Amino acid sequence: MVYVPLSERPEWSDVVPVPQNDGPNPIVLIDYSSEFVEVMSYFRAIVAVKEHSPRALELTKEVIARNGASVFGWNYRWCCLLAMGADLIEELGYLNDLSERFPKNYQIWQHRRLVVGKLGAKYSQPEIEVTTKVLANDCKNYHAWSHRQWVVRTFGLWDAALEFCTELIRQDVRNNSAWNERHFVLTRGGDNKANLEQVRDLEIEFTADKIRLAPDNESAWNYFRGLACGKLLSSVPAFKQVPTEILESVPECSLALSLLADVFEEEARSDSLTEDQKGFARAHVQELWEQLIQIDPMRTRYWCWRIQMLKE
Amino acid sequence: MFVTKEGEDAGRWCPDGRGLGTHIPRGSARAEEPQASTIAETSSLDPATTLICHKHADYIVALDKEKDTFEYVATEHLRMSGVYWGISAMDLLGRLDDMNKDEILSFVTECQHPCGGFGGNIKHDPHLLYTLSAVQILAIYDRLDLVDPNLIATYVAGLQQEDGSFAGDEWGEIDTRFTYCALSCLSILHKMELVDVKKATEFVAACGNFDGGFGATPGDESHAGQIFTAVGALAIGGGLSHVDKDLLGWWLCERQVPAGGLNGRPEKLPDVCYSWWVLSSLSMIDRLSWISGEKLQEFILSCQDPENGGISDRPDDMADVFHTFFGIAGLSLLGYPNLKAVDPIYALPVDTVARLGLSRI
Repeated sequence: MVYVPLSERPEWSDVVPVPQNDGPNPIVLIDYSSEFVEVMSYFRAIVAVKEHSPRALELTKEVIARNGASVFGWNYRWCCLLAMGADLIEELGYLNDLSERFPKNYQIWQHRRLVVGKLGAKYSQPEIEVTTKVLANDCKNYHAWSHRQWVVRTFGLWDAALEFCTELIRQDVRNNSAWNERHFVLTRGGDNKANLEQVRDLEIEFTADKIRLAPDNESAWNYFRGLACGKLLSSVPAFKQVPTEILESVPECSLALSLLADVFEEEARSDSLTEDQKGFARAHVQELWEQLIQIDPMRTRYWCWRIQMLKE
Repeated sequence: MFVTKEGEDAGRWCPDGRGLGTHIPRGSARAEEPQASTIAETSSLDPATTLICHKHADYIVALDKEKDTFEYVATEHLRMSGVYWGISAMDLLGRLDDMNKDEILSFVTECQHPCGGFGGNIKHDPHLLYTLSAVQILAIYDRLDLVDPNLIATYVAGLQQEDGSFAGDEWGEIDTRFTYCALSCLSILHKMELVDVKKATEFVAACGNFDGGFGATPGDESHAGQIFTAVGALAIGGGLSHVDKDLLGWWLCERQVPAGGLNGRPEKLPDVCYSWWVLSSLSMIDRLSWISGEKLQEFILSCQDPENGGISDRPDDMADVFHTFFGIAGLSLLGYPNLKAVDPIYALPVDTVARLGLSRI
């Protein structure tokens, strides 16, 4: 779209633009494009007189189009919308277009929150759909996930939340964001809060299947380990069985070795085992860590530290 | 010290102009010829193994003079943080005197609002991000006397929410970054008593995840940048007991990729700025030695622009002041020779932190 200078638009003829004042001794002489300079000068002028009008609202669009990160522009837009009692559904239309074009701009997501928070639950499902669309293009977009969590939590949309993570993990088993979301859904789920411990067996099965698909996938192993929920790793047989099984086919799988080592280390320190059992665990864990030094030399000092700590 | 919007892998952690794409290959925008004298100097230093300090210092000094570049214009809204990155890097290089102190100080004070907060540039709205940068700049120059600490502290304290979290400004974005900004600022100003520190650290603890890391708000994915802010806030607020140091340390040391660089989340590309976010976090939990410092140093050095100076996110990309500072700060934490030591909690030179009376015992 061709930019018509504000100075040539009749609806702005009564406004005297306010230029940027860099102070008497500027270290920042910014050579903006002339369009940007003009838009900002008119914007300063309407902010100075607190004008909340349709043309002010339009002007914030010009500011945002030139600097989408301008908190200044976004804030003033929200003030205008509120002061004018503007149609927020129309605002959502404007935001939908921006969200898809600039999904990494936090201000757009924040503005959505304000708008949907005001509009209420009736408009929550479309919010979920916007994040689904954005995540389809960039499945690790931090803002989109955070926004989705906000919608799910604020409007209690827990029912379909788990299914969504399952699907995204199916699409990309290494998507750490989707694994994080899975933990979020299972541990923070509203009134019908699923207790992770109650579904642990199912989750272990689900995660083990994913680990088998990609044994070097850090995200799945971290999630798997997180299923312990603070309990001792050695109290859940799967934490020994699954890495052992993986190591049969991928003997140099460092993530399997390290989990197995952690289980044996716990046993080596356990008060409820016999001295013989503890001795066996101790020898075994030492062997695993030495193997890890060979496989993962970059973290040699970490593995040496683990060996040292057990000795102490 | 952070930026307000999202770049590529580095999340909201790297400035990327206006979001028009992030990784600009080196040479595509900056075409000036290297000067004869600097070519001669370079030949004696191998950038693969040596930090070319004088080039980086010249690069930073020049930034302030090249006001017609795209990067300069595009980062206008975060100029305050740009100045902080620039002078901190210069201080670590021992070249702070090359910066125009009077101009910088007058710029900083000009950005303050009557409410006490600072904007990212003159006449820009106040925000915690830029308030911290402003306070850090004044601290480095030992000129906190130019401002009223009570006024700034009152602004910061006013942003604390019921649940202990902090909003970035009056519009209410909540993020562990802002908790860090608030606590760091108040600690530098010796005004911690104005906020509920216990609640602040409890909010950060609520952002902790099953993998030992921290996200921006409760439930958000662990991210190395957020971990720095969370652990930093806990360190300042006396809440490090909320950190599972071994679990977090392991997650952080898994961030090192075979090329030696560090990434911010699993499966992401390495980026020089994580040299800082990850290393400083490891340092705060006393696990700095868990990664390979040698490999990381090689990676940072490979991101230097051997001709024009400056450090980029990854080898052969365009340098910027943000990555230049965090690259140098990372090397400082690794004990690189002839750099001033940097404090992992405050991201300030250790001598500044000592002068403020904030050194870790």
